Amino acid sequence: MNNRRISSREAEELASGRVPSARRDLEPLAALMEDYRRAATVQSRIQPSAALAARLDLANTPEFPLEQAPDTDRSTVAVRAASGLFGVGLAVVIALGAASGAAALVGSAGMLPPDAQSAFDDLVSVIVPTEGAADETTDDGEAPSDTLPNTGGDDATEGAAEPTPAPTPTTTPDAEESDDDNFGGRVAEIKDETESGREFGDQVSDEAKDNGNGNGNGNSGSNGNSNGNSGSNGNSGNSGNGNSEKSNNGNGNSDKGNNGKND
Amino acid sequence: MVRLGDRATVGVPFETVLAAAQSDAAWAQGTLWRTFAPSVHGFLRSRGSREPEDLTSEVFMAVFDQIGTFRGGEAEFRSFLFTVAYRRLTDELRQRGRRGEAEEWTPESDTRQTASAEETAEAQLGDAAAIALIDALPVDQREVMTLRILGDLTVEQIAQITGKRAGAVKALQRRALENLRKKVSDNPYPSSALQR
Repeated sequence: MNNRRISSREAEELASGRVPSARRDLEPLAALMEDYRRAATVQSRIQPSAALAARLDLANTPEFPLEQAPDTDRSTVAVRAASGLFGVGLAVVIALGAASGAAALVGSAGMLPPDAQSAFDDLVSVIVPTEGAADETTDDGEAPSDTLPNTGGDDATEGAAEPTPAPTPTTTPDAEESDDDNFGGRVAEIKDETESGREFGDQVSDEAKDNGNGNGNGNSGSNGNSNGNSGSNGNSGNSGNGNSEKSNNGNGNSDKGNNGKND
Repeated sequence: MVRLGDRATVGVPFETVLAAAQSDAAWAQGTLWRTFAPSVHGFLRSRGSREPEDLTSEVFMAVFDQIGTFRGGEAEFRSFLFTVAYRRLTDELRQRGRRGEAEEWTPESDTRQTASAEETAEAQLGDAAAIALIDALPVDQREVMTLRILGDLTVEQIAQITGKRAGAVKALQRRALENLRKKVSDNPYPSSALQR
């Protein structure tokens, strides 16, 4: 066994399921991390409580895996897809949605005008890789502030993480992969071949449907989301505002009513 | 044409799901449950929750009750989610301690793990071995590793959740990995897992 100490950087890579460069001796450890990530989540075939099940209505709710592109600026890609493919109208809708939440809510509730609704539906079912979006971020939200539970009144702790800038997108619409699984590349190809946005949307939707039939749930997480998000969050430090389990400043989220709760 | 109501969709941006979840859209909250519940459950189970499934539901009920005021992206949401999970777990462990019940779960006492170990498929054997190895870590190391692996949280986020210093979390992570490396070297772990 190579007894060379595991450095902090190597530890970070291992915890993310990657083999540190020049450390082939740590391959089994990296494999272990990945297996644990998969096993611990796959084995968790859990069911929600009755109250939660009623809220989620899972039986009637289709599955929408979260986008799994760790190096892609997700919302920016989505907006660009909207404006580039479906015309200014939808881009305006999305912009309104981003500003007020209303249009996005309406869209998600299936209440947009037919043309916009169709485009909205296509939007959330399509991931289109773009280039040149390196500097844009999705994260303009406030950072969460973590306050430890004050169950005994003596151990409350405050802290918060700084907002995390979104990872830099690296995909391009001219990707040369010929793999049939490269849906994004295929989307780009179709785009070049059609004139009508609606026609393009239909083709993309068909492709997405075919592609989606081969997809299972994506657990982000690290986790089955192949933890596509693993290891690159970049959170550091503390800051004041945001979401807190128990907030003392009135901001964010607080977990009420659970302190001292009995089973 | 694929619509929101279809099952066959490519991944949905987290921000889209979050916005809809904040408006109480069932599909969006269901998506968050399906995506993150296994990780939360895995963490709670590994830390000794007696009823990790029930506790996971409690965590998500609390999260959904507060989600309207949540601000941030997916990374912040993970941190928020596991913060709630950690607090609920801490509450449970404290209550059990006050009732004089057995404190920590141990791998030997978990019959569920035994049942998993009896599965014969190669991948399942490897998975069972992975769970057993992590579960055998000292509790502090196990906590850090499960939050890191299952929660995909950074050292700083784990430090905030657990109330430890970042340096202490890093040290626990490193010690856990050294611990695991020694065990793996004593009992070779199938590195072919990486090639699966």
